[in-house]
Amino acid sequence: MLKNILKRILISIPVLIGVVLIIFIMLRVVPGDPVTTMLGEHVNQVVIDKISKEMGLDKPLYMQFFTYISHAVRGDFGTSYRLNRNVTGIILDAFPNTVRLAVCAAIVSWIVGILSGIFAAVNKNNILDRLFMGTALLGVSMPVFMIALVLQYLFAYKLKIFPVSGYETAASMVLPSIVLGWNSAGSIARMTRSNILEVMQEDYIRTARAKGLLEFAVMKSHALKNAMLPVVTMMALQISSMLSGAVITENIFGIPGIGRLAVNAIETRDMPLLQGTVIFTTILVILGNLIADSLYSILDPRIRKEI
Amino acid sequence: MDNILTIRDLKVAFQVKGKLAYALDGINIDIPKGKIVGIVGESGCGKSMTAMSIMGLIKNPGKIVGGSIDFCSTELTKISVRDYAKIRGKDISMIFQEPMTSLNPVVKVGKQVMEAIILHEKISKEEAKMRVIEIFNEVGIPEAEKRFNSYPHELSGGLRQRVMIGMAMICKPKLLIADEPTTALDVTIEAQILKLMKKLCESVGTSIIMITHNMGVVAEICDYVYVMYAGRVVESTLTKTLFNETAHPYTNGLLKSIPTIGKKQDRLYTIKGNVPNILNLPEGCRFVDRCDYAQDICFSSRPADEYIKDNHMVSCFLYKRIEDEKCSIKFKKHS
Repeated sequence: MLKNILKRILISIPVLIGVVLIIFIMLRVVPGDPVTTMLGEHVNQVVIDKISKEMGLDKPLYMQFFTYISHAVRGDFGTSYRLNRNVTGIILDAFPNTVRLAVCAAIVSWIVGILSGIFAAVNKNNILDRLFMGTALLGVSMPVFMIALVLQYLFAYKLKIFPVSGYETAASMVLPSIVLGWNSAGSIARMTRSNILEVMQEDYIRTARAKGLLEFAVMKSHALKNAMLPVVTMMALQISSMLSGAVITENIFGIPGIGRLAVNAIETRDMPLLQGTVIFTTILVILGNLIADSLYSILDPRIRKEI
Repeated sequence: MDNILTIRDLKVAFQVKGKLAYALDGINIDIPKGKIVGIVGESGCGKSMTAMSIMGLIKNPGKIVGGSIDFCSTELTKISVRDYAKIRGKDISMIFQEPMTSLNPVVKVGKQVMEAIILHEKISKEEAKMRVIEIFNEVGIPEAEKRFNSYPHELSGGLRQRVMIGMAMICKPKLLIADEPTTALDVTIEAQILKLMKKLCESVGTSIIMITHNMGVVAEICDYVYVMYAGRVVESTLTKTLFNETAHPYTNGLLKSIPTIGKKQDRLYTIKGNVPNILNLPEGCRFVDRCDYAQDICFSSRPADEYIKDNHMVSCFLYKRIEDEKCSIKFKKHS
């Protein structure tokens, strides 16, 4: 098992290099010169050339790439043009805010999603099921910015229960957590429900009933473990995408996390910062996938050997 | 003889498009203590439905709409869900057709068997584990202690069915329902499993309901046989009598359909036609469309259960006792 995880980590290295390469090329293909953007218009060409040389932008692209990679493996992702600070430091400062939001949202979505999925499955096809699944569908299909604005309007502007934005107090985390969590809670609830209903038709559920277990025990000790297998995978993938920065949520609620950092970097053509955030989130997604796979194999004995 | 289970006029129906479709239409079955009773018939004749009614596990939208199931003086159609759960797995247990899918794939087999005993007996975990290993040895699972911690996918079909038998027998039930327990297994394993079931039940005094479509299995282990067709029992008697003095044309057809080894046949015998749709049953005898001996009366009214001998019931107009004349036809012996 440990050997297999190690193998997976080694496989991820080429993926990471590929992502860096693509980002690197894309940022140089898009129009707009970082130096001009940085200094503003009407600047002397001599100054531009001087700064370009300082930043190493006059060298051929492949040279720039290798320099970047060799620095990156040592944890140095360069210096932000705009903030004039080490990129690694900026990301590590912003990350805790994202983590806080992601953890709150994940807790909301897991608890609400799983419980309402089970509840809906138990009350299959009656009014409660419809109500819960309707709410879940709303979360899955409504755009995040719309949920955010509606909730802000209702709970912050009209009812004044929660602050409109901010990130310092616990109360200020409530609305962004709901906004970010609703969507994933919706998909978790729908998946939990359909998996439970599917599993309840299996032969081994009949065996469990024939043993004399009551419905609650059948659900708890036989149906849930099987039904949750794919849901756990989904949960691991979701948390890695939440940690990669909820771009829209963070921007609307003014939370200085990774997502906001990335948007700012794009707006200001801050190449080192943008590269840094993209690589950072790539690592998170790869880790998330790794955790999802390992969890699956821990929970399901049938594939424990294969991975 | 003492009967541990008596089913009288049992009716199970499904609500389909506002109409009641009878999957079981007034069946009578007696299970004597310590005997093996076979229920045979084609797919969809109500064999498994009978088993599920006894277990109280009929799936929605099916339900029992009439009749009684008396198990050791307990009326099973009237008891609460909780009381039923106490009987299930303890006094009545069941083995299913498909050992590959009947065990939970993510729970160790030992734990699954242990669950049954912990549920029904006041027993510590250690003792329960000992009992499981004991029963694993009894059902012939090699390296029982090691197998306790195996997952179902690590075992072969035969071993899994042995686990199922162990699970069913661990509480020493009074009645074991085996729903085609050997259909999914290969023939060499089949004989072993049948022998094992018979041995275990004899030692504990358990009665068995053996549901099968395999006449060979019936001949081998059953004491008594019920032949079912389209939700009704058409003939019931001692196994020997069934083969030697076959009475119902449907039973005759079933027995004739078995190819004989060593005899060259150009064409295998089949009963013509198909099992009727339970939504659209013939008015009289349900077998009438496929019967070679059908008379006018068979189309219009339902034959009653006639006892042509002690212990030999036939539901067919051919045997309606007109004056003192007995069986009107004699089928060839099948043995």
